Amino acid sequence: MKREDERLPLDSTDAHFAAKLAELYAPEPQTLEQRQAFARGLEARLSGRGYRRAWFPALASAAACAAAALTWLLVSPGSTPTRTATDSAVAGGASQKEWEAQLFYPDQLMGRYMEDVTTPRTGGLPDEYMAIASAFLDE
Amino acid sequence: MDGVVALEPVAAISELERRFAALVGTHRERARRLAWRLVGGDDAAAEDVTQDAFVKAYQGLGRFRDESSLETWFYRILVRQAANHRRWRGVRERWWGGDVDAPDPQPRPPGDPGLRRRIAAALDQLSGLQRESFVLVHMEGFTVRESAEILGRPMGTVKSHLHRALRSLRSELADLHPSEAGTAEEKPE
Repeated sequence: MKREDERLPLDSTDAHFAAKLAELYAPEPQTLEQRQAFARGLEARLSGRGYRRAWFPALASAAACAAAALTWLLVSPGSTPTRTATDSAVAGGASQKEWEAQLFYPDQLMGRYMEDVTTPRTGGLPDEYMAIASAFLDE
Repeated sequence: MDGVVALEPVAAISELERRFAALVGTHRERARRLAWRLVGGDDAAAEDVTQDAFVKAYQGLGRFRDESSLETWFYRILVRQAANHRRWRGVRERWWGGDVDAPDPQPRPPGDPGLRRRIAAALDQLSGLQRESFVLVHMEGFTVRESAEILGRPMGTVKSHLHRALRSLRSELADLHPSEAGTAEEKPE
């Protein structure tokens, strides 16, 4: 199976050196119990039991990170708009609820300031969308 | 037959899964030994890496193509797992300090633990590819071609890394090299 030309030619001293390292640097053979434990562990993992346990800490960590990031975003001085008289003036005297809605649901997300250039100014959807919609509605 | 792992009900086992089950049985010990040598002589880590490699290989059986042998494909996964383990161990050591995955301190009856540690340290000094090439070819007996396939590198690159690895190890472990040891013996005390 193994061709000679695939072997790296070593002189006899190097070959002896490499063989000695291989002999000295090897694990102890496993006992029967260790082999059985290995086989059991592998079987458990192949059938998926080992992975479910690993998901919980991972999910918990991800949730904790997300919560920490959200808290930091809301609490950090640079990112949280502190309500001042100036802010109120800028907001045109918006109420607390409006201010919170603006904070969590910016107008861009609510679509208030969005302008689709493909939409005719007369209102409604573009013609091709209307054609598709009407085809379905007709049915 | 403790090495045989029941994967699925017999009727559902495909030919590839049969080959995989046989691979587990026949290559488990070699895989563990290779992992042990690559992760620095740590029994527990070698076992984890070997299991991870078998699990990943099993999960990825659908992606296996007969371009290489199943064994070569599996050992490629194993070598990557070992490299990942070393990388994460390095990260953990940097963050928490100390030797978090130190090889078990339990006394091992045969062999010389001190010598093992020296060889592990000398291998640790090598680059990843040098270490992997040396362990695959000179310790595990893979051919250069097989090692090149496992490492995903050209044969010339593997040969070059082997040459450098051997030179470095000869320097680090000079007393174990026959020519150096002979010279040392000739020296007057």
